[in-house]
Parts: sequence; structure tokens; C-alpha cells
Amino acid sequence: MKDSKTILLLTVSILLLIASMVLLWTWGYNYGTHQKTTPVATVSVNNFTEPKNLDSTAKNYLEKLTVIDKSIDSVWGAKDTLKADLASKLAQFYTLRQEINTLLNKPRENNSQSTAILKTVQDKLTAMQLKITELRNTNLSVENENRRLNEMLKQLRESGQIEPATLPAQKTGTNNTVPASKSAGLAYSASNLNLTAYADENTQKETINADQVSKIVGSFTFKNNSNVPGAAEVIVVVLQPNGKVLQKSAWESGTFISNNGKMIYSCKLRNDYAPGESRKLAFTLNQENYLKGNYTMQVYYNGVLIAKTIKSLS
Amino acid sequence: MNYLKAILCILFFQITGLLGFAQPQYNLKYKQSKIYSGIEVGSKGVKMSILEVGKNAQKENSFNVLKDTSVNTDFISFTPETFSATLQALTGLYNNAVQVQKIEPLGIFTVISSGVKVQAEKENKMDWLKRLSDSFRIRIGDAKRHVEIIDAANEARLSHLGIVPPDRRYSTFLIDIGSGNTKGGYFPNGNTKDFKLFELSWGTKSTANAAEKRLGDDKTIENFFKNVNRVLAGQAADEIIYAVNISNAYNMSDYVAFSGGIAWATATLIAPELSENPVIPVTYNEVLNLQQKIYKDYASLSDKNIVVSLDVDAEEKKLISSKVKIVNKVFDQKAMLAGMGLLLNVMRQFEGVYEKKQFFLVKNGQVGWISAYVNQNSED
Repeated sequence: MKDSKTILLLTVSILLLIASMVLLWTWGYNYGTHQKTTPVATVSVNNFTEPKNLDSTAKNYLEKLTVIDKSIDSVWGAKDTLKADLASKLAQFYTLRQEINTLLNKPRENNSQSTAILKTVQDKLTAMQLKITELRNTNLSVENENRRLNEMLKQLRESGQIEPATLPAQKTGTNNTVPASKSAGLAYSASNLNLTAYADENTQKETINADQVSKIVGSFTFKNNSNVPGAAEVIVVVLQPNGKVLQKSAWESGTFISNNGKMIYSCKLRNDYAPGESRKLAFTLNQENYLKGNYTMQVYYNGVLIAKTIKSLS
Repeated sequence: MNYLKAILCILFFQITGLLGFAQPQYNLKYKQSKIYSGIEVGSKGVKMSILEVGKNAQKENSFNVLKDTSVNTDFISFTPETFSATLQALTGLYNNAVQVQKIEPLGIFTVISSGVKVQAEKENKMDWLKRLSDSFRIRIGDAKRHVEIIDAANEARLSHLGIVPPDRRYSTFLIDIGSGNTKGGYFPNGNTKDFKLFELSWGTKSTANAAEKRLGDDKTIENFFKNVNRVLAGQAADEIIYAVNISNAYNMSDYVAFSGGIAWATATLIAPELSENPVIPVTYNEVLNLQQKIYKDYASLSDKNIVVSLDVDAEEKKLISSKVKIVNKVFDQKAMLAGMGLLLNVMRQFEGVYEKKQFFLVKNGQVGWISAYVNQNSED
């Protein structure tokens, strides 16, 4: 009886063991199958087949992804070509460098002519640069001088020491100039003003008879009072007794801006002056008919009247 | 309409010719001078100039324009009507010179200008010029009357001889800015036979037209000025720079003189006080400032506003006022801006950093060549 009970218990426990093993196997199998089918993240884009129920946004993304993928592939492919190009360019670069080195290392005597030209050009360039610097400096100093003189003029006018419209020539009569002391403060000054009438164009026969005059010759000394060399343009105005300007010719007369406004000038005289240099300047005026009365010669520099004289014809 | 005008003008000249007995009283400039007449058949019509030529004309270019008359006949249309109008005008002006001005036939010079010759050659109408000369000879009853056809180079050469004084002859580059083109030149070899011709296909009117075409709907003066500058900065600039460079005029000249309508207008407005002067010296900046004034303050350039600021007597003010009025009538604001733009563009080519040329504006350039022609053919 005892033996039959033991056999029964043994059979039940074996059955239970088998059942538990079956359960364990089933669970293990289920777990393994689930792990294989669910992961979307591991889907390869290349092998992707479009699901039928995807919405439009997702569709767009997928299309873009496909394009990007293709570009990456092409870039990857092109990389090799670029590499080849780079290598060839590098080779060219090294060849050129070599050639330049060879040229540079060539003996100078082979290029003597070009070297001479290069040297001349270099010299000229240096000279030109120097000239530019000099000109700049001159310009600056002229500007400074002008500023200084303008201020001086202003001060003199304010203090009543100078009055451009009433210069000594007017006070003393027929033929006078501005004293050196008066114009000493100016960069340029005019003195020894002279206005002479001639009866004959070819001979130097002076006259004061208006009917006989064939030409009027003016002269004066123009001096550079500054220590700066340079070109100066002096303007001459010869006023006739009727107040009109006696013009040299249509090609030589024009208008300029003076302290008193826009004026007509008889002629312009332009020259280069060294520091302190003075030059005697002259001009000739021709006209068909001359009026009787006073002829006033005015000398302007930079629009300022610097000297004046009067000549009478009867 | 032109035909009718021409007929009326001719009738006027014929009638006044019949009534005239003594030479008119001219305001002569020179003590010793002779009076000549030049009659020119041009593209637009026939023009007569009465000139006082001084005794030193060969030496000093001393000539004075006493009278300048023209009849518009549009000869280059080459139609029977314009031919007839031109013939009538030519005959009428010639008769006027003989009967009214009392100038001897030997002192009257008749020519056909280069503009007519160029157009006749283009249209194969050179026989029209011969027919005009022959008909003219029959009408005036002078079989020996010489009617010379002048070519462009000779016209430019004669202009130079007539306008530029002999002492500046070989150092002056003369440029005539016309309405449709620009031409001029200089004497490069120190003689008057060799002449270096300079030509541009741009003129005052063609520049204004090119700017006008670009305007679109915005017809304002601002837009016009902007487009003038664009036209001049583009195709025109290329041609100007090239033409000036190949002419070598920069190296060969000290003076640059401009003639033509725009030069006359600019000169009159820049220096109204020099209204009697045939030539005005100017600087690039003076012309530029005037152009800016025309653009920004055009009203200030009216005849009234100009004479107000001048320190001259009433009689001179009246004279200046009439001259400014004519300028403002011939050139409106747009034409002035376009013409001066072209003028400035050419001037700029001669504005070097170290060497600047002296510029001149010639007022009576239109009679320059005829005066030289008269001079050349009137050896006393």
C-alpha cells in the first residue's frame, strides 16, 4: 500500500516538473519572438518600403531622407575625384615653385637689361613718391601760410591799419605803388607799378594824348615774401575812365572773385617763384580807341587788392 | 510750313533789297576794316553772316559779326519743295547782301556745308547740290559764281583758323559740340595744312534723347538728370575717353576751346557781364557749379534774376537780359543739363592731376569757319 502511494507522488511531481518546463519554454519563446519583430528604429532606409498608411509630413521627411542619402553617396564618391584633383594641383604647384626658384636663382647678368629697367622704374617711383611728399608738404605749408596771412589781414583790417580800397596810389595821385612795409605781411607783394601809353605800336614813343595812343603797357615788380617756393597767379585790372575794364583780349581776359565780389580782369600773369624771389612783370593792352581821363591799374593776388596806380590821358 | 516761312523771308529780303539805297550803318569795331558776307547752305537751312574783318585779320583773327540771319528750309530732306525753298532762300539772301548790305559780289562767299554733303552722299543725291548751284547761278545771272562744297575736315580746320587766334593756333584743341555730334581737332605739326580731326557721335540733343528714352513713367527733372549721368557714364564715356586718347590732344595742347550751342549758352550764363566777349575762359569747377545751379535752382538763372546781381549800368543790363533770355529760350533746363553733362565729360579728360588745361567757351563758333573762309579768299 505504501509503495503505491510513493509511486503516485513521484508521478505527480514528474508531471509538475514537465509542466513547469513547458511553461518556461513557452515564455522564453514568446519573449524572443517579440524582441525580433517590434524594433522600428533599426529599419534600414535603403530597404525601406513605404507603408501604405503614412501621412504626408512623414512622406516628405522620408523623401528628403532619401535625397540626403543619395547626396551623401555622391559626395562620398566625389571625394576620391577631389583627392585626385588636389594631388594634381599640388604637383603643378610644386612644379611652378621649382620654375620660379630656377628663374630667381638665374645669374643676374642674363637679365641685365630688365634689371636696369627695373632699377630705373624703382628710382623713378621713389623720386615720384618723394615729389608727392614734397608737394603735400608744400601744399600744407601754403595752406598754413594762407591761413596765417588771412588772420593777419583780418587783424590789420580790424585794427584799421590796412584798407584795400584806399591804397597810397589813390591818395598821392597819378603814379604810385604800395610801400613795401604795407605789403610785407603778405605772401606776395607788388611794387614799382607803372602804366605807360605809347603812340606807336612799334616804337617806344610815350604819349599822354588819348587820341594818339595805340597801346598801353603796364609793368610792376612782384615778389614772393614767403619762404615757400611755388607758382603764383597775379591778376591785373585796368579800369578805363568810364569805369569799364580794359581787356587784353577775349582769350586773355575773364572774371575772378575778389574781396569785392565778381570782377572782370584785364589779364592774368602766372609764374613760378623761389622764396624771396622778385620778378618784373609786364603786359600790353591794345584797343582801337582810348578815352580821355584816368586809367587805374589794380593788382590782385588771391582775390585781394595788393597794389594800385593811376595814369591820366588828356 | 517751312516752305511758306522761307517764301515770306525771301519776299521780305527782296522788298527791303529794292528799297535800300545806301549801306546800312553798322556799329563797326575796327578803325580799318572791310565788310564781307558769307552765305552757307546748311542741313537746317541757309544762313547769311555779315562780317567786319579788321585789317589785321590774317594775323589776329580780328573779325566782328555784324549780322547773322538764317532761313529754315530743311534742304537735306531732298524733296522738290525743300529744294525750291533752299534755292529761294539762297537767292534772296544773296540779293539782300548785294542790294541792302551794299556788299560787292566779290565780297560775298557762297558755300554748301559738310553736313549737307555727308547727307547727300548717304542718299546718293550729290546731283541735287550741283543742280542747286547751277539754278542759283542762273537766278542771280552770274555764271562764274563759285559755290564751294566743304567737307567735314576742312570745315573743322576752317573753324579752328577762324576762331582760335594765331598765337594759340598750334596749342589749342578746338571741340565743336553740335546737337547730333561733336567734331573738332587741332594742328599737330605746326602748320595749317595737317589737321587732326576729332569726332564723337554724341551731341547735346542725342545725349538728351538717350536720357529721355530711359525715363519710363518718372518724367521729373531728378530722374532726367540721373539718367543723363547714366548715359554719360556708360556708352558715351567709353567713346569720349577713346576718342580723346587716340587724338593725343592732351599731350599736344595747352588750351581746349569748346564751341557750339551749349558752349555759347554756358558762357552766357557763367559770365553774363562779359556779354560782348566772343570767348570766355572757364574752369571745370565753374561749369560744374553752373550745372548744379541749373539742376537745383534753375529759377535763379532767369534773365531778371541774373541782371539783378550785376554791377553794370541800365543799358548793359538790358543787353545782358536779352542775351540770357535767348539762351533760356533755345535751351530749356533738360537740354542745358544734357549739354553741360557732355561738355563736363569731355572737359574731365583734360583735368590732369599735375597738368590742367585752360578751357575756353566760344560763343560765335558758328561763324568761325565762314570767317576763316572769307579771310582765306579775301586777300587784299
